[in-house]
Amino acid sequence: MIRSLAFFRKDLFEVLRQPRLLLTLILGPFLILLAFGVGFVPDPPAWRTVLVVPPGSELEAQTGELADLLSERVELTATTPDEESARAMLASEEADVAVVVPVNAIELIRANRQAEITIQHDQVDPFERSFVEIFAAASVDEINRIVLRRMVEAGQESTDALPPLSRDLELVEEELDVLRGIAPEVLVSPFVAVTSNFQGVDVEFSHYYVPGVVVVLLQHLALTFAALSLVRDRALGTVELFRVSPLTGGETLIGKYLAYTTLGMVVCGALVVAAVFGFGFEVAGSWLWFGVIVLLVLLAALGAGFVVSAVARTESEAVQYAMIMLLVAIFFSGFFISLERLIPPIRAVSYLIPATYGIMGLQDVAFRGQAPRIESVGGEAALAAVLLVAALGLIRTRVMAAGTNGNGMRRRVFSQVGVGGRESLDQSGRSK
Amino acid sequence: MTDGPAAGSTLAVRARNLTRTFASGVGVHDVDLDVKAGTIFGFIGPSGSGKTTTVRLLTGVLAPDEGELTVLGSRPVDFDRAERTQLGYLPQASVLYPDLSLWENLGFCASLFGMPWRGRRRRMEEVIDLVELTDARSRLMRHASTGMQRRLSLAATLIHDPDFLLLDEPTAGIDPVLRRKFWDHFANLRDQGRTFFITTQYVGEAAFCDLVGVLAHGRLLTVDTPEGLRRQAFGGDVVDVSLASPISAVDLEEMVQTAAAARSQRIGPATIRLTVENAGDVAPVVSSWALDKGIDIEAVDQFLPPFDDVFVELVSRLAPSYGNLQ
Repeated sequence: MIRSLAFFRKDLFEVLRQPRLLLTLILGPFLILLAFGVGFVPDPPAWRTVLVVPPGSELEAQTGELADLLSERVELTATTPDEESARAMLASEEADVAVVVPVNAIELIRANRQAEITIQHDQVDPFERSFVEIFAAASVDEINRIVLRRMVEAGQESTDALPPLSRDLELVEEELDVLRGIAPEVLVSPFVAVTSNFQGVDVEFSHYYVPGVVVVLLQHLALTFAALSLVRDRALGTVELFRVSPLTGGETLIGKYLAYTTLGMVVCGALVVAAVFGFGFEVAGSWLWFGVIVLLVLLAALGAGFVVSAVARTESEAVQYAMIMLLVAIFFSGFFISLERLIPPIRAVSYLIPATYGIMGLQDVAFRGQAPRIESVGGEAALAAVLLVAALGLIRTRVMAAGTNGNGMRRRVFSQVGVGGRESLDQSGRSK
Repeated sequence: MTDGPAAGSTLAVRARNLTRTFASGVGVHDVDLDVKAGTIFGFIGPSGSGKTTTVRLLTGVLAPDEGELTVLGSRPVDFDRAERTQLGYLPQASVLYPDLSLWENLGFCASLFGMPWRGRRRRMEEVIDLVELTDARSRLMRHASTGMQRRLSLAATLIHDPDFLLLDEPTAGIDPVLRRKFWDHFANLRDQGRTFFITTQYVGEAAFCDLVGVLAHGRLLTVDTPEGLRRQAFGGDVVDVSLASPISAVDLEEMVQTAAAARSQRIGPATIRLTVENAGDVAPVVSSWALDKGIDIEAVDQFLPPFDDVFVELVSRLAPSYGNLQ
């Protein structure tokens, strides 16, 4: 029991004597959950929608009514007769959704065919895509219900003022023939919603998470290795050797960046090979862009890791910071929850995370088959540069600076082992 | 031992009132120190006396709170790259990488000092051979014994052939034969003009130094040659006179007067220990006196007190507040 209590005491004291570690252990995850709870919006913001009403459409007069009907989820930003210009708005991110109403709905229904209301969106996230599909289906159901109600109302009104049978019997017979020729399901649901990504992107759930997994794993790997690297050098005492040698902080960082970037690229290669051959993951765009984005993610994550490394006092502290960064990336980088679901102040946190830009960029390249948008590449590069400068500054002032008190020196207990003895002298006093 | 042949008047280290205190109160206080270039300067003192702090001040890792310090003509905290290249620093603990082999660690240290890839292999082989680790060069540092790690650290310090070597307990954990080999190598390098500042836990190694500083409580008690320290500690040379049979108190008193001994002590039934001005003068005088008295002398030996004793004596005398030596 005494022996067990010795460990109890030792381990407890070891942790309690690291207040910063304790603080991050408790406060870190709590703050993340709090920020997520405050910042998460269950319903995505209203989609900026462009309504495409081709000239001659029977629904041209009902656009206002249609907009009102969709107003719960839709913010009508433009109406255009041209489908191409609507797609251009989607491509330029001026709109999130384009609703294309059919040009000849009545003709189609009379021909026993449902009229398609096409909803084009820019989502690649299967979760958000499902949301659009469900909303589209519900909205079109509502339209069908309104149409059906109006048809019944119109029918009832017409029976009140029936023309003389002898005069219009033939006309009624013709209308009944048309009605009999329409299938019941077309009668009940004359309109149908057809949703699709405007670029034709249709990503499976399992494939959708591949870029996120690759980026988050690489960020964590690079950040952890970098964070531990200098802390370990300090704990080992090697930093003292660095400080006496003609080595500079910049040279130290360049070497470490090269080592961990190489390692990260190799790990990324292995992950991608596994995803391609194991899950059938495909990259629609350029592999070169894929590599550039991964490289930038690694550089930014390494910068963050070196900043942590210069600040953390112990390995436990460095590991804890790295874990906090992993949690932050999972919740706020768009890895499993779209950034649109976060309120703007919390979304600002997302733009401080290397993984955010990486996921954004890889999704563009892998799913949309296009070059990454400028803000993802530019944002990542800027973040990497800022973190590099911060890491360099901290390493110069806190780690490598001459004349500061270094950490990690271990003292050995002094022990005296003497040597001594006699030297024989002859009678003349000389040594024998 | 005197200064090496390469010793000149140039000072490698000059410290005046050098002070560095830590929050706990330990550190070094008002240290005045001159170390001539081309000499071996030894620094001895008990644990916590400030030896390592002094070394770290000399390297520029620590900045002094007060006082002046120049090493190789510059303030250590202002050393430029060229000046740092002249330094060889062996920290007290092993600071090399446990997951690299001994050879890889040595290569890493060579790179730190900018040794080009081409042409350094020969130098690496030389130093690893000096520390007798050629056969173990592929072994991981973590699998090397403490002594091997220490030897490799020394090799890593010597790799770039520095002018000024600051060695913090270079021989800790090294067997006596290899320790002696190291000291011979240090002396050889000293003779080629290198300067050494060495702390040691083996007080006896002070004998290999040109000058020795004794430190206690962060204060430099004295600086002298090894022989000078012995004399300071015991008030002169110590001689043991072995007689064929015990002598009377009267004869002993007479012998002490004849030898002009400052102190005497019976250390055996027929052995007398005398503290005299010069050991070389005693044997003829005492032999002559014994012949006159009909006393048979078997031997007159100069006793060289172990430096542990010298150290204890000095510290007890010069820093009386340091009651219990560790």
